[in-house]
Amino acid sequence: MKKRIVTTALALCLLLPFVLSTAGCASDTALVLRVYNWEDYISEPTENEDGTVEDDYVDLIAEFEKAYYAETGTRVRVEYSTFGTNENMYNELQINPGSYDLVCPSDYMIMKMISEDMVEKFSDDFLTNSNYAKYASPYIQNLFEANYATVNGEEHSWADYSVPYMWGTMGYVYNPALSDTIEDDLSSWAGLWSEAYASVATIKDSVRDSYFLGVAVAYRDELMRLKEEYNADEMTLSDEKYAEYNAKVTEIMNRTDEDTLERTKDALLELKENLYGFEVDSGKQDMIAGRISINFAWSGDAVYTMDDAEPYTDEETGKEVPGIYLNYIVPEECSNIWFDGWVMPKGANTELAEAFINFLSDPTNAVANMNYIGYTSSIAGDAVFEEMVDWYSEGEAGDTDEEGNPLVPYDLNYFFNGTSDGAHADGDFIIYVSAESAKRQISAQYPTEEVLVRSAIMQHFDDETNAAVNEMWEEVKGLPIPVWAYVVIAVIAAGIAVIALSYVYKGKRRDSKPKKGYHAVK
Amino acid sequence: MVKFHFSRKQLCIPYALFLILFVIIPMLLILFYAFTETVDGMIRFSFANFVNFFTSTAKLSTLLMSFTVAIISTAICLLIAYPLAYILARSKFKRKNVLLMLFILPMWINFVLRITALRELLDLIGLLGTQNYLNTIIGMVYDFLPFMILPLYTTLEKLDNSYLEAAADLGGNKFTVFTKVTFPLSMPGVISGITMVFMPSMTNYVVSDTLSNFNITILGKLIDQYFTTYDNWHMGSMISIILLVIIFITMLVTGGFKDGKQEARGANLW
Amino acid sequence: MVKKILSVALCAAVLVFIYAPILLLVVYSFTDSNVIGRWEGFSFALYGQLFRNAEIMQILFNTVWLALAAAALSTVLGTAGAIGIFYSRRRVAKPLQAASQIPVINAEIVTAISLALLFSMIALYRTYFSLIVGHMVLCTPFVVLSVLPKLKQMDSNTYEAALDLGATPAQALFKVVVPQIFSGILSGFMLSITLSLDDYIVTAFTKPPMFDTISTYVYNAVRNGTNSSTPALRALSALIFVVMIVILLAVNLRARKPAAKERAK
Repeated sequence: MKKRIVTTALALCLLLPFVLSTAGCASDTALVLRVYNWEDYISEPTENEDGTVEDDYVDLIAEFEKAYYAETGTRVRVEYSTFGTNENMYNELQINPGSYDLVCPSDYMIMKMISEDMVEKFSDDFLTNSNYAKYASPYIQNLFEANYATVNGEEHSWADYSVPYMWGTMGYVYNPALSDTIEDDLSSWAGLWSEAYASVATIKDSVRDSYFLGVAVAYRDELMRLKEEYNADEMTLSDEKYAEYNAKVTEIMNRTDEDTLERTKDALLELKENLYGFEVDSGKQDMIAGRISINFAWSGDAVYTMDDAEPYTDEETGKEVPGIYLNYIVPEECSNIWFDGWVMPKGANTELAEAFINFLSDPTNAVANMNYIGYTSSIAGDAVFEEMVDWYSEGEAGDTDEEGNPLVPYDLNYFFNGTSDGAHADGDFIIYVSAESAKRQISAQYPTEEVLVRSAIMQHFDDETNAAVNEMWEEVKGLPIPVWAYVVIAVIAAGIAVIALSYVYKGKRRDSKPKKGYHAVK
Repeated sequence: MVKFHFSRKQLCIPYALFLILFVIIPMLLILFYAFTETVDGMIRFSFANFVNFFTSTAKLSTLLMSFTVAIISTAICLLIAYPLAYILARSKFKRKNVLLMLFILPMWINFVLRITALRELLDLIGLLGTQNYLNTIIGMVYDFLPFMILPLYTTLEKLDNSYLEAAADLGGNKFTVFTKVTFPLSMPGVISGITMVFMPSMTNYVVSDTLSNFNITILGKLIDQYFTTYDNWHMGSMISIILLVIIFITMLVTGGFKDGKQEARGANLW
Repeated sequence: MVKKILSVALCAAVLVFIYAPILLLVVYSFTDSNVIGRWEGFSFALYGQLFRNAEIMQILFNTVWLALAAAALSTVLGTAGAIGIFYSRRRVAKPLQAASQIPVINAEIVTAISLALLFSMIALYRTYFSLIVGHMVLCTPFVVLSVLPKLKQMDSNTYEAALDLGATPAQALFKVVVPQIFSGILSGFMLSITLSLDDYIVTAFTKPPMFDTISTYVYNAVRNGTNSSTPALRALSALIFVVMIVILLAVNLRARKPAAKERAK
């Protein structure tokens, strides 16, 4: 009897992990939508420090579950999980294929997944009749139409396979109080290389983003020549030369030949010595805390950072909370225009996935998301514009700011035209802000057309190229070997040599005694 | 009688299965991955990773720097821990066990929390973000010092006084007594300490990441990178194999360390 | 005299080095400030925030149950394994003992990726199963290593005597063998708990995506910079430091006395 208990206990030991791991997965009959998204990338209820639930933030997932039930009479449960990097997400999909219905990779990863035939097409009905078709900014929709990926030898537009969720540019967030010339210095990407900014800046610990930065500096001269040639300072998105100019910038920014790799590596190695460090995602908090003064950032993070760093008045206590006004700048050479977009991995429940995106594409829900995340939604429409007016507008045309300077117009027509339900006419999407404010959140939220014409999309690299770029990045992270390290190694080598020689020299005489001692201790 | 013995022996079957399934097979998988590569979704035998490792500047310099960081950390640990363990072991203090306890206690507190605390301190005194190597080495010493103190203390404490007295009687001065008797006799402790500090100092990337702001890549980090970001498990496995070879060589050189780690971590406390 | 001063100075310096970061965190856990170094007056605010933070409480709970489960399973498996090894022939015992050394000697990252390779192959990567097994791989060999010496010290005749007196083998095992090696089992269990609580790397490679322990949570907070926006984490660390130190000191001061007597014999 007891023997059986022992055997059972041991069997349990091997099996219990199974039992424990399956417990708690109660099954229910509702439909399940499995969404895999970036961390903090959807509006969800948040707890305040005192434990109450912040009422500013809508629980979009719960709202969707409710709305879906009201519309179809079927219950749906969203299983929501998050990832930290595109590569992590991709690995996860490789290891557990078919485990998600909807994921949200970035541009180059979307391209990779499309070309590897990993994702489902969106239905024609969705692409023509959904909230997305109606309210997504025509600028963004056109961009997705105009980009191609090769699937099984055929060119396919991104638009067939992917729906943009959030978008933006890359630039520097900086503290203008750091120096008098900082705005000028950082109007070039190379500003970060300046000794004046030693140990005050961080860049991303991510191959693609840092590579982009390195290439921009390595090819600064070529980019500036191109800019002059096309007179890109005054170019708009409707300019006939825009496509040609943009394609050339995109080509440069996605170069991966050996020479480029070498130049980029040198540039980044030089930069590394000047940095405070690399960051995975701590740039925002480090800026807010004042630990660093310049951060190479995605525009969405920049908005978040600027918002949180600002001084404000505590509504409850009426106390002034000190802070800093930070600026955002997109250097003159070029920028990156990035997207995070929804794709449906093979085997997904496409109907549910489309319903979810349709829900998120309602301008009111897009506002809820922007409010929570701080990033810019690809959705335009009246609700979004009105929210932006509410956030940023400081008056009407002809008004002045507190110091008596006239407000400047911030033109958002390129984004909002054609998406209004009638409340606004095309051409009226202009917000008036002070010249100072035009350098802050709004410039990160919606880049000007002048910035967009020189913004390149990151292309997906094939495996071989990827390996070469990774190798370059490894060298950036692993080099240089400091001089003192050579000294240490030399000293150690010398030490070993001396010990070895002394043993050989002294020979057998010493051999026996210590060994005896050894045994005695044992 | 025979039957009863049989039943006791049987008790190791589940454990043997466990070891085979979750220790042996996974190690074989590493070996398998290290000498294969995936081409167009097909896995095939290849030496490419091996060749790549020894021709890659990045990987070789990472290996070299990991070595250097580990050697310096180990040396500093030894330089601090030896006199300390000596003082503690030789002291006439009645409850020296309690005193020892104070020095090795952090060993049982979550190391991520301790390293984070150290990061705050380094930040406060302005080292964070400026002295990446120094910070990493401080971090390694901070994390692994107890693992050096404990085995040293154990051997020095057991050291038979009569040897030292005999050496002194035979005319050895303090210095010779130490170099010719004490130190050689404490070698097992020194070796056990070195092996327990050296290996983790080459691989514990939580320390280097946290304290160098991701500026320093050590071997453990490189393996992690190949699994989590570069998405090349074959290369990651190859680096692991190279690490295993280093471990193996260390063991050969030092004559193995048996139950050292276990001794250090547990037996003296619980 | 000089020697004595130097000795005390060294001890003091090392103690300061060891405890300064811990003390810093403990001190600054009593002020409601986001940044260490800025004292905003004494308050328990961070502790209040800590206990109201449902996420951190969940993580604390996760960490504890994982440690208990992994330690309990490892202890049963490891104790049985040790008894089995002890009574097996050399040909069986030797390779088992050698294999037990692998996770002990191995770098944690290598153990972690080897498990990642295995579990991704059998579609159990990043599940609770892989997590618990990962921790068991870390802990079980240490249980075996703490139980084996006790078995060797044990008087082997008692088991036979029990059988001669009419006990079944199971009774003999539980009533005679286990009590004699109990201290080894206990120390194996406690060791397993501390190993599991301490682990970061294996956890990071085996945990389910939405599961966090204190280690992974705090490390991620450092990576994401949220440790400075979540000062409650400081209170958490301070609390763990103090609780652990008190427990360890208490256990040790109590355990030392009999041990010392034993040695005196």
